[in-house]
Amino acid sequence: MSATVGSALSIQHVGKIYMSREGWTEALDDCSLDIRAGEFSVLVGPSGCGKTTLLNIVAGFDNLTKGQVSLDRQVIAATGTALQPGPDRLVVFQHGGLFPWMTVIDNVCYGPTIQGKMSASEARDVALNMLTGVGLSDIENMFPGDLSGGMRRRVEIIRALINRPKVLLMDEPFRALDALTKSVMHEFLLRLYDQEPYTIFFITHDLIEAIYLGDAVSVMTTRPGRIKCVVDIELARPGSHRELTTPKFLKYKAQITDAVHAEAVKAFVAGERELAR
Amino acid sequence: MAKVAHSRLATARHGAGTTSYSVPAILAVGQLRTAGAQLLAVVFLILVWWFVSTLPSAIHIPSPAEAARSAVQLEPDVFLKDALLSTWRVTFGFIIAAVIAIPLGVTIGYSPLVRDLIFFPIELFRPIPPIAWIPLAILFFPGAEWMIVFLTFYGAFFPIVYNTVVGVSGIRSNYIRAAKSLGASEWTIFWDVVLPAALPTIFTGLYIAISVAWLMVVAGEMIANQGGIGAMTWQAYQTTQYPRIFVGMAAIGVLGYLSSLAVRLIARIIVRWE
Repeated sequence: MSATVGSALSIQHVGKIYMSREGWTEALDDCSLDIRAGEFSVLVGPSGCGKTTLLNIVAGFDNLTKGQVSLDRQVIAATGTALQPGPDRLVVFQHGGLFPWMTVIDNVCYGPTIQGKMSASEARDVALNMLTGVGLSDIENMFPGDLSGGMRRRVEIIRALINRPKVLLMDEPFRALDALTKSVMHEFLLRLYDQEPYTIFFITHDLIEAIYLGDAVSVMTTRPGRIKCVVDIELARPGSHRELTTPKFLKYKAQITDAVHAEAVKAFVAGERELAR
Repeated sequence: MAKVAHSRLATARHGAGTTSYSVPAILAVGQLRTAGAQLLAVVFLILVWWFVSTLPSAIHIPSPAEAARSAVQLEPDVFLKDALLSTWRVTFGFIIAAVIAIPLGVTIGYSPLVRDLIFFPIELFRPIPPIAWIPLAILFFPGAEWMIVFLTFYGAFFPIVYNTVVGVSGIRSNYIRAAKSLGASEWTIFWDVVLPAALPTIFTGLYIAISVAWLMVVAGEMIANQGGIGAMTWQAYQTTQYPRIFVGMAAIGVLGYLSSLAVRLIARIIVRWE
């Protein structure tokens, strides 16, 4: 096993209250989650439960109202501190975050050059190497708009990984893809992860995806979001899609489905009540 | 898609032994068809014109043939001078408008404070049609030249400001967040993210603005009567050389079209990714 590049991420008693037009909303309450260095951690939960809010807090896009987040025991987010997004916590966005006005190579090289970590030619070499390594050669001069959805996702992942982030944050990155592309993307991601175990914090509401990818799957409660339970997944990796039908897999699926379903029902009832008001 | 078409054509070729086609040839056929349809539309337009000219009217409306005869009778250098003068006035006013309106629109779109300070007065001015400024412009500017350039500037200004504001404030937060995470400073984000993200919308504004600039130059020239295609058209009316009105109008149409085309070409070069 190669050396771990990622760091341990610790989310401690995080609370988040924000004000919207309807008034105060408690998005997160006493939300705690520990992710080991090099762990592939997946978070699932009913929609609107605060998964993305939590990811945005970790990324430094949004502040928290209680608790703290630390990376390698260093506090990166706490109450009263300024937002500090950085290349140690990079996000692969749900709706894509590649810059459409930059070519693939410029997108990938943007981080290392803007941080002054690499010269333009150095970054170019590394980027081309990484792109070729994942079967994306000869597209470096194309614009993201000319690529397929799956290719764009792959380039975006490479754009993040070239910075060697301490944790890779993925916010439902494959949601918009068709089933076939999605399964190809899973294999792509696991292959990368197998080469170098980054710390990955992955959000989804696709439970099969969660069990297939994760070392551990955490279930979030309905709003205010809290971690309801963490299920360690003990399946051989790199897994094959065949495993999706093994009894062990199905047992995990049943367990997590039960947990999520209970929360989804609560969310549904709460929504009904809100509407009735 | 192209592959399928290719192989099907290949079979046709072998089967019937006809001329060989290629993908570029198919594209050329498509372009030819477009050009043909456009030509047909122009012919149809001229036919309508001719038909209207045969209708009884207060004063005889010149037919296409009469207009063509009058166009041939024009002194080429006088006409060219007028055309160039109008084009120059449009370009000048348009460029000043772009130089002022783009930075202004960017700051309004980017900073809530500037928006509150400046945007409201601009909103107040917007409903006033640019043509309503003509009397004041005549009073204010010493010569006709500046008056006309001011009018083209004014007409072009608002579409550019508005579209720039929309382009800058409508930028997806993902892009700014990604740039921040990747290590870009506020200032770099502005140049690397905000501006390029807004460019397609800014060009939409420029595209609208150039036609408004033509509208205003013609109005200004008709009032000022100091050269230009607008003045030429107005003089044609005053001196009862009616066929020449059509020559002037056609010239304005062609020049307006060409300048829109120029803006579109520049957009295609700069906004390569769209």
